[in-house]
Amino acid sequence: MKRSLGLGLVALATLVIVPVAKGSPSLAQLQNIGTDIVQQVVRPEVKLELKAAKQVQTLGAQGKTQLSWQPLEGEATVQPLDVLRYTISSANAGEMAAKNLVISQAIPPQMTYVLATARGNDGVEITYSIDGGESFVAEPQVEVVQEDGTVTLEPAPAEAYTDIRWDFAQSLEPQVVVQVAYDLTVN
Amino acid sequence: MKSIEIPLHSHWYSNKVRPLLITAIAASGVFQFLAPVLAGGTTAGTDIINRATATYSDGTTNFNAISNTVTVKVDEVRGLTVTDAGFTDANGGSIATSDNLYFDFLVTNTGNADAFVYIPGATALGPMATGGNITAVQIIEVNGTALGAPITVPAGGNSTNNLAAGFPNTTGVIPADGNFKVRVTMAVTATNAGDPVKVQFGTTADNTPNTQDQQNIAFSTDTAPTTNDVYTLDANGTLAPANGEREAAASHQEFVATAPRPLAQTTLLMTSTTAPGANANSAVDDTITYDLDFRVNNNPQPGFPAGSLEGTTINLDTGGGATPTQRILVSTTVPPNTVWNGTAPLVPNGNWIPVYSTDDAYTGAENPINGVTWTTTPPAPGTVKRIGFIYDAGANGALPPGTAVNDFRFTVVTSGLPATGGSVANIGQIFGETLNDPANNLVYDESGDQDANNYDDGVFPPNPNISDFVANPQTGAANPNDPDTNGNNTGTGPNGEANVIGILPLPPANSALLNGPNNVPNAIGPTNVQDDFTNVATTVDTVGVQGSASNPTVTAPITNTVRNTIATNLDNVKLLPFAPDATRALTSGVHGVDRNSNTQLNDEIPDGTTVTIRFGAQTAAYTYTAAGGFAPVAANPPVVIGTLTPGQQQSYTVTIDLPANTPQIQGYTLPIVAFVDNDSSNSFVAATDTVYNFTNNRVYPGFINLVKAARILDTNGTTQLDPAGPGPSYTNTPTVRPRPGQFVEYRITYQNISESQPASGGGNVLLTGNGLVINEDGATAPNTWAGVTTHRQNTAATLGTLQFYNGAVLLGPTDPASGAAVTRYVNTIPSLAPQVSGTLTFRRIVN
Repeated sequence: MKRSLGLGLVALATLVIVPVAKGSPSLAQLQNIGTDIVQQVVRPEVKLELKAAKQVQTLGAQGKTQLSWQPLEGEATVQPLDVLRYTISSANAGEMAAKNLVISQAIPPQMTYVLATARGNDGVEITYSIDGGESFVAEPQVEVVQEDGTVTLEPAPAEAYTDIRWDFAQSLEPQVVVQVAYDLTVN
Repeated sequence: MKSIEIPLHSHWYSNKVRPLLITAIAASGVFQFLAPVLAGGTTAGTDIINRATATYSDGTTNFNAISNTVTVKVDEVRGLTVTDAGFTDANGGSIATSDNLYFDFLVTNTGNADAFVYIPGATALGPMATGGNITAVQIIEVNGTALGAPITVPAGGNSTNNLAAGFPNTTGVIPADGNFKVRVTMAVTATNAGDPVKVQFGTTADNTPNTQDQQNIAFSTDTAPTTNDVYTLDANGTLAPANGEREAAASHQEFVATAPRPLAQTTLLMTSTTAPGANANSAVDDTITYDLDFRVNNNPQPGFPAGSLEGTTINLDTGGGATPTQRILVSTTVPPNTVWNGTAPLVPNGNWIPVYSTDDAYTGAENPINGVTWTTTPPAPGTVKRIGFIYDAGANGALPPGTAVNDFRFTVVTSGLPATGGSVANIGQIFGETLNDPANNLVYDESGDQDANNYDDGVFPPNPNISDFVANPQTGAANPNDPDTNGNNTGTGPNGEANVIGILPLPPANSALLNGPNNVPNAIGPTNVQDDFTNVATTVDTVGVQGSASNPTVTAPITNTVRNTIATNLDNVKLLPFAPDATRALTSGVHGVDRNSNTQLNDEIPDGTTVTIRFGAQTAAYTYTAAGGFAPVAANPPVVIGTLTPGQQQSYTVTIDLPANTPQIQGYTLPIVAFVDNDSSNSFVAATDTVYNFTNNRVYPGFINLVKAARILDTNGTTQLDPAGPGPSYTNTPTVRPRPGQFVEYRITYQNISESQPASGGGNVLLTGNGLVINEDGATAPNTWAGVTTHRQNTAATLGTLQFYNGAVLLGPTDPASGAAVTRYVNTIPSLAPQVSGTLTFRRIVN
């Protein structure tokens, strides 16, 4: 069984993000002995798994509205204004660390990003594009013309977001799983 | 480019990449907002497909990974709104018994799939209406386009699929975001002022949440009957709406009018007559007598019966100090360069009293009822700046509709004019209120036209819902560039028009005979009484740039007037066109410009120009050649005015036909001479025909010159590349080909090239451009800029108003954000006086 520091589907629903595990000592030794050879035969192999869940509101005790996430499987249907949570699990099934891991996610044109919902492990740098993936910044800005004619930069609205990118500074060691997640609204 | 100056909030970009990055962000950010988004959401049945990608490395080689694909399908969701879309009284004015009222409602499919909509008919809407009977229910508009033939909804109601034939799509399907407008016609039965009249279109009071005029609520909980509801029906059987069918309702209420509002309408008229002083060779002792008349019109309008005129508050000193006093005031100025002659003004009857003011009439924001003190005691004549006439409606009664009060008169001396003469402009104003108007709104008119209450050229009233119309009286200063051209209160345009007259010393010798514009034979041109002018415009067969060939149409008849200024008869007065160069040699005045030394736009007249002079039943036509001057078309004698008795004047007309290949947007000056034919030779020879006078008839085949130019700026928006910087300067023939990201700034310059009133002259007839519209359409050939460039802010128009369009869609008057879809710029200039120019500048970035 692979060693997963991520949590299962149940945990996914509450979106707990876990840190990337530190490197395995044995692998580090191997690399020290013969880096060139290892690189020819030992490769990292990152696998991505994407899952979606729909936010549902239920009336709980004392009549309070409770939010929960219902996994979407098969030919699921949604309605405009539904909020979906996408979770990407990334596992290194290879035998050496994956460096410079960057996970990218285009936002489908029929959906709108829910601001400040993209999450990842500590240390992951999350950046966004509002130009179809041409450029990424942490806080996208747009020019806004004020009433007096001056142009100022203001935070881009949710509708402008086109892509999300998670940039892992740390290496993803073999057998380790990381998760990132974000919420979208159906237009 | 401005963005360079703005600090970037993204923390990890170096300074080097900052400007480029911001440009990309700005462009894409704006485009995103313009992507069409259905109000009702993503179309039903759409698959939303999502997949993640990753890149990683083993330290040497880069690898890619892709995830599984997650697909979700969008449900069919139904949505419906009904909103109040306005109200019209078929006969205008206020609501009265038996009026037909139109109540409009907009029905919109806010769901994400096709639907049909049920529309209740008159039978169901009748019991829900208040104050009237529902006589018709019609669909009058679909998706914003009025139907040529409205669709009649039967009295029993029906759904759009059963009314399909009348819909543009012939199916009655209302697509997602589609809408249609329903007009409910009511015949008013309520009789009392203040009674409500109301149409209830649909009802939501009989289903959850059981309140009226709800939007987009579930139809499934509606209780019978359903014939009074507006609700959706499935138009597409493949998917059932996840939220079921929907219903909505709206209503509109008005009230039977209270008592109509009488409105006093008054028209003030001003004319003037001049008389020479003792010294015939000086203009400084001439007199001008102004004559003012006014009437209270009997011109009832719907909702506004004709009212009586009473006084308004003026600051009046009758000997005991200035106090606010209610009076009707007829006010005018002692115009610049004149003084009151000290003779008591004439009043129509004893109820009118002359008043005077020494307050400045020409500076500041004061007007005759605000900041000006009037006194009944005549001040020293030289100090009087305004003369008025007051009427006490409280003591003598308000003036009812149909009243005419004529012949207020006073006289001024032209002592301030140069000895060589000049023009004097004046305007009259009348102030009062409508009798019994609880709001005490001002009733106000300026002289110079036949319109009441300063309305514009026959438009009454300026606002059909007039309730708080307050006139905006000017300072009382006349604008000589907005004249009542004929001096008889036939001016046009907004507000009033000035009475302008030319005063000149009696000229020596040949000016015993005067020849000039219509009713102003004594008009003075740039030089003297010989080169006065009447400017007219004509249209051309092919509109082109200035100087391009055209075949202008024949002018409308131009009226000129001749007058005998001496005490004896002038006999054998005749009229002829005369070659411009010969005229110049004779008068040293301005009569067009020699073709060979032309540095102005007043070009020599082209060969083949035909001039026709008419007086009574006489007609004589002439054709011009530079070599031979004017030659009669047929062997006809000149038009004969005959004998002019002392002071007599006569008017004649001239039409001008410029030939094919005439350069357009230039002025062509045709001198017409009136002369006493001493030797009865039928030709004009100055040496023998010593009594003569010229007037210029100048025709412009187009008189507004439009020039389009551009400059190309680098991607920073400031460095000018073409023409070579630093600029700002523009070129008609750019040579640099702009690259993507660079800017093209277009500038359209327009100018009224016709001659203006000469500084020392007066009485000439000018050409003012009215309703000039600059329409810069980048999507219509030969323009192509709409497709390859994108709007940037900082559009500038020096005159008039701006409107922005994306295709046919009006975006409004506010300069849209940079990157917005703008394909057309429209600059409307209501009035462009001679020689006045303006520019429209707009900026595009190359895609």
